[in-house]
This record gives sequence, structure tokens and C-alpha cells, in this order.
Amino acid sequence: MGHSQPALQDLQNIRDFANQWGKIIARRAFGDAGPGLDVDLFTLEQFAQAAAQGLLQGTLTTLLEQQAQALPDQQPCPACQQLCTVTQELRTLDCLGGSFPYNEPVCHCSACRRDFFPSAAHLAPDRPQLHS
Amino acid sequence: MRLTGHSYTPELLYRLVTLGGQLPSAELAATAAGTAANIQICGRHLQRLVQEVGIDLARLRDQQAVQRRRRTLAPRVAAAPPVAVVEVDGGRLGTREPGVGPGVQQPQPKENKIAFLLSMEAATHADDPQPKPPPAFRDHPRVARLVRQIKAQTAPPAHEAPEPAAEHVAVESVPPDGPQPPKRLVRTCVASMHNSDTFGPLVAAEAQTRAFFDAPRQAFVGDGQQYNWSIQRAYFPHFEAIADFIHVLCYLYTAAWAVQPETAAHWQQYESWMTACWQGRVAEVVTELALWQERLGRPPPEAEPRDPRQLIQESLTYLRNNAPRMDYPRYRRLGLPVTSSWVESLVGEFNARVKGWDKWYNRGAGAEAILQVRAAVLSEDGRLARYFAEQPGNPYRRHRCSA
Repeated sequence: MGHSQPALQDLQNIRDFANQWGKIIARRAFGDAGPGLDVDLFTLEQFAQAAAQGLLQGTLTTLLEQQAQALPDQQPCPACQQLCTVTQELRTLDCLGGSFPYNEPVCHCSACRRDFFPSAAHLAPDRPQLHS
Repeated sequence: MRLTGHSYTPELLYRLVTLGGQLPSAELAATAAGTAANIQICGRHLQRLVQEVGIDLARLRDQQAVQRRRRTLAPRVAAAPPVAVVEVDGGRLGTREPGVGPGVQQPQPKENKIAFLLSMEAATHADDPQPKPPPAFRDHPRVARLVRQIKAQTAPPAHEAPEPAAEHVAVESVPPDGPQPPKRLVRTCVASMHNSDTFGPLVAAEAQTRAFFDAPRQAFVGDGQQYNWSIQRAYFPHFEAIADFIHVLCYLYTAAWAVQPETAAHWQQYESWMTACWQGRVAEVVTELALWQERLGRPPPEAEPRDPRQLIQESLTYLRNNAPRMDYPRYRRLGLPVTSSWVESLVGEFNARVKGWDKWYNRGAGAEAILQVRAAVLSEDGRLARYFAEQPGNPYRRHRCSA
């Protein structure tokens, strides 16, 4: 999955794969015997939601870390193109599942006296078309 | 990462701004985000996000118009639609003077302009597929209500129209015998607070991106407002200009009341004129109205809005000005719309978000921004999702003061 826009089949495969983790979550939450008969669906859904949020946060944290590590040690300044050292700074990002920490790659250009993000090389990769 | 100075991921930002454009207020959108997705954000902050995105959408829209002028604007559709329809209308929203302190300062209602662009499929016919006016236009209580809504100042008093009977409700619910309705494909819209000189190029640019100028059948529908036809002549000269039949109907109803105040005779006169216009015999109605004008005389300058002479004069002027755009049998044969009901509904959808006694937008960027977000949400081309997909993000980061 090296492309920027995931295919529907890829997403479905991931969904099916994550579906299997439901058994692990269920065991962690209620043990091997499962929930008692007095536990209602509202409570069960709260556990499931917490698991989904945790999965979202953990996945994004890992993927972003991998991307940050893939960056070269130096990046050109968008304004003057001078090569600047990449460092990391902790930032909190909000996603659909809540907040998660992000060690953001940051560069400082001493010539321009500005901080910048080593941003993606290309913009607007997939411009959708109308059917008519 | 395409991140901006905000801490939100692009997906979350997209959903928040969509809620801000869909729901009646930013406060409600924030509540909905908290309830449905457990996203904690205050209404004021969400409003600022909507504002930022709206301003940027307006910039992109204006950029598109510049590209069109320079002939560098490419269509983003694979093929031209079978039928391209452009309808233009105006609404109103409350504005306030910005930068003069908190609260609503110097409130003024201002007109916004809204264009509705629809691609559709519709059959053509050798003969007029619906020579008889639809039942809705022959339903007295319904027509009276319609006229009161559109022409409140000159509409006959409410007691002139009979009360709606039970059978009228039944008639409305039965589909009328007539041709199959056209199949709607994709709707997009353009909205702005600018005047028609600026608005025209914006609509033309949107039409160009949708390859409307290459469509085999093209229609431009508007009410009698002169600026509609200025836009049509300047930017859509090859489109079939069509005067909205509902407005025609309103003028005929008031004129019929002016010459026949008694209820039964009024309705009979209206039906006769309305049917004539529906069947393309506008010249006959103009002749009859001119005779009535000769008989009653021209209105004096101080005439009341409901003075019969005034009503006849207005109707006659309207029909004479718009007669070339009232060849309704031909439009129906070509499968083109004869009313601007689509854009009227669209204006209602805009109003649901931007209009209200408690809604005031800063004149200039404030009002323009909310219109852009609303237009993006109401357009069926995934415009807002595309905007976020195309966002480059901010390469620079905000300076942080050391603690």
C-alpha cells in the first residue's frame, strides 16, 4: 500500500483484520468467561469504543513515527532552500478517536529565522472528477 | 502531513467544517460533534474554523474565475452533460459592521446571489408533452398562497382566495399525468455577496469546469430581475433564456384581480391568461392587457401598490420585457425546465443556515465565507472533501514563545 489514496479493497482487508482483534479486546475486558448477563449493550459498546479509539491513536502514532524516521537528516528551507537539520518536537493532534501525541519533525532555518515543517513533496495528489 | 497551525487532523477538520456548514449554527455543530463523535470543541472555535475555510474557498473560487478569463481553466468532468441548466436567484442575510466592537452594530440586510448549476438527462419531444397547465397552477388556494409568498405587496387580500378543500390535498398527492420528469445528475452551486458584474464570471467559471458550454442543450432560468439577463447575455449567450413561469403566473394572477375583482371572474380570467402563456400565446395576453390599460388609464405617480392601473402596468411591463423568454411549449419539447423552482429551493437551503433573527455576519469577508462553506456542503461534487484533499498544509509553524 505505497499509494496515497487507499483502495476500497485495502481498507476492507484492514477492517477484516482488525475485526479479529475484537476477541482479544473482549477477553481483556471481561475475561475468558465473557460479560455477565447483567452487563447491557450500552456498557459493551463503551468498551468497544474505547478499543477503537485506542487503536486509532496507536495506529496513527506508529505510522507518523515511521514517516518521521524515514525523513533525511536535513531538509531544504521552503524559502531559501538552505539545508536545515531535522529535529522533533512533541505536539498533540486531535483525530476522530481523540488526541494523540505526535513527535513532529521540525526544522529551523537560521537564514530566514523561521521554523518549518518538512512537508510532503507533492500537493493534491488525487483530484477527483465528477461523473457529469 | 498537510497539517495547518491547528491541532486537528485533516479528516477531523473536514468533518467539523461540514457540520458547521450543515447545521443552523456553529454552536449546534459543536454540540453535535461532541454528542455524536465525542469531539470537544466550543462553538466559537468551530465558527472560526468555518470562517477560515470559507475565506480560502472564496479565494479558490475567485482564482477559478481568473483562470477562466485567461482561458486556462480546464473542465474537471470527463464529458459534457446531456442537458446543462443554470438558474440564478437572490436571497437575503443579516450583516453587521465589522471592527466596531462586540454585538450587532449597524445591522443591514444584504442581498446574496445564488446560482444553481445542474446537469441532467431529459427526453426531447416532437410535440409539446404537456400542453395543459399542471394541476398545481389551476389550484386556486395554492396559487393564491404562492402569489402572497412571492408578491406580498401587491397580492390580492387573503380573503379573496377560497379555503383549501380536502380534495385539493388529494389532488396534490396524486402524480399529474404528464411527461416523465427529467433525471437529475449533479448539482453544484455558487453563492456570493458580490454584485452581478462580479458574480457572472464566478458562475461562468463554475459552468466551464463542468463543461456546461459543450452541452448539447443548455438553459438559463431566472425570474424577471434584470441582472439575471445581464449575466445570461454576457456569459451564457448560447443558453436558452427562460423566464420563470411561477413569476409569470404571479403577475397574471394580480393583473386578473385588477380587472376582475370578483372571485369567480378573477379566477376565470387568471386561468385563461395563465393557460395562454403556458401554451406560448403571450402576445394575446399582452394585447388584452394593453386594452385593459387603455380602458383604465395609466397609473399616476402616487398610485398605491394595489391600484388596478398599477398592477396592470407592472404585469404588462413584465410580460413585454420577458416575452422572448416565454416560449414554454418549445422549452418543454426540448426537455428544459420552465420554472426556477430548483434555485428557489436552493435559496431556502441557504437560508436555513445563514438567515435568522440571531444571525449576523460581518460585511465583507464574514458573510462571503459562510456562503462558500454552505455552497460547498450543498454541492454534490464532493467539493469540501476535495478541498481538504488538496490542502497543501502550512509549511511554516507558528512561533512559540518560550515559557
